[in-house]
Amino acid sequence: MALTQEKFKMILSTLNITENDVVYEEYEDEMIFLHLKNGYYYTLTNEGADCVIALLRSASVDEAFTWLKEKYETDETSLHSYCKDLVTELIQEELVHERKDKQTDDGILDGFSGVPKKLQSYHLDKYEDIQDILKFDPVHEVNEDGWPSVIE
Amino acid sequence: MSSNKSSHPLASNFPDASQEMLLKAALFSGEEAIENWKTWSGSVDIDTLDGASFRLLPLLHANLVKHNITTPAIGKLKGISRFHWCKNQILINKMLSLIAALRNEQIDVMVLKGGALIFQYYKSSALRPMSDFDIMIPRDKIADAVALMQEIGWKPVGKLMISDPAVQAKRHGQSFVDGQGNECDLHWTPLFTATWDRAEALFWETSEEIQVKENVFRVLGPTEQLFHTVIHGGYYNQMPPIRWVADAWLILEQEPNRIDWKHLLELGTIYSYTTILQRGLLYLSTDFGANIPPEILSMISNKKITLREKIEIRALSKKIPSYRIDLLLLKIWFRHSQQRNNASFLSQLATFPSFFKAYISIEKWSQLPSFIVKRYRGI
Repeated sequence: MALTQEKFKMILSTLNITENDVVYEEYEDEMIFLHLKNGYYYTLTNEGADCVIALLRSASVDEAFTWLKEKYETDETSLHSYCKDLVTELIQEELVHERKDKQTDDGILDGFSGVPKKLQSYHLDKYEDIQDILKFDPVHEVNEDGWPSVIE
Repeated sequence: MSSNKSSHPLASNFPDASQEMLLKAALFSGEEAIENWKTWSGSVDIDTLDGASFRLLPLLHANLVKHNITTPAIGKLKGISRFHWCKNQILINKMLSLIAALRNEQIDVMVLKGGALIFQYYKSSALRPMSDFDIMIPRDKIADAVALMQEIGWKPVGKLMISDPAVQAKRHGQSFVDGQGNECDLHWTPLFTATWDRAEALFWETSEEIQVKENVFRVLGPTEQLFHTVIHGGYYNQMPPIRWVADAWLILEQEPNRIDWKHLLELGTIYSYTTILQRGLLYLSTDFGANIPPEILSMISNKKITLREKIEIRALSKKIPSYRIDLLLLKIWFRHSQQRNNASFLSQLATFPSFFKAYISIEKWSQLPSFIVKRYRGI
């Protein structure tokens, strides 16, 4: 049975990064995470990164969705489903956890004035040993996507 | 006013023409950045880039993105940025854990160099590659700090001789390494030439407190940070220390009203670094258009350089060949006399042997032949 929008909202919350154990950086078209405790490194593609940023920096899910709907051509139900899948995956990886209050330490959302884009599928890639992948020479052993994508 | 780089003894520590273009492509805005990027990228191959330039690539990548410049190498540049972000995050995590442990034992900590500059000025750990981190503690806490570091898994690099207060007065710090190969330089004075009693006091007095997550630590004030940065550009280093230009540029850009220029010149006099400061400031002003008051440039250009500093600068700014024991002796003598500049020449002479032994890390004179042999062999 399909969940109603209200129920979607009940299981989707704003987020916090897992304190002390996880660090992240935003690039122009992706977000990268490093789990310092277990040494896992992750890359998350653009649309997924926007959803995480919106949920990290908004006071409420509604506020996050308002921002995302200005950026992407999507309806509320699809957006909920998209974010729920992503957040579930990120929580399983212990990168984020649900935020109960409205406080956020992760900055504010930048204003957006462009044309909304189609919401493409996100990709969360996981590299299981940061010490191992740091051994790759980032100039000579990588393909055109750059480290940590190594030449096969 | 010209920085007149090529004829100066510090010339090898300044960027060459290609490195200068890279710095400008990474730091400047608008057309100047774009033009320097075009010329630089047309004349170099990233695959064969020198190490000093390589360390500037994350900063270059960020500026290319800011200027919407596309290049086939953008993926590789971004990868280099991600690589350094990860390496730095691991080091910063180690640094913050160590700071927490030291502060838990009531030991005040100041972060020096990259570990501080990242939080103060770069604002992203991807942009300023680090190979280790540097922290400074009060001199009277050395024994406590060393004991704590060893207890939590940091091992001294080489022989640990700093438990002797006489040795502490002749050295600026001790390197440590942890089980994963992360390196930490533990300082009690920020300059390796300024090891005399209370040489570091000025730096603590003007330091500032910053907070990263729940960790609180001190960093140099803006004037001292600029001084420390420019001076490090003057030391000999196997990898030319050209990133001092980027560090100094960012400090000047972000602290236009907080640099105490007269105090900066005083620091040069107190620590005998007028020459390096002079060349550094003139270079930043002339070649990079840095906003340095003309009267300060004029004052420092007219400052008299002592004979000792002139000779010392020649020894400091390049690698002393291993067979030139005479130059090494001279360098150590200058270090010694700088520390005891209030003592008579005879008194300085009398205390030189013990200073010499501590400086080259030997305990007995019988170890001297072995030191010389190792030096010849480059061990």
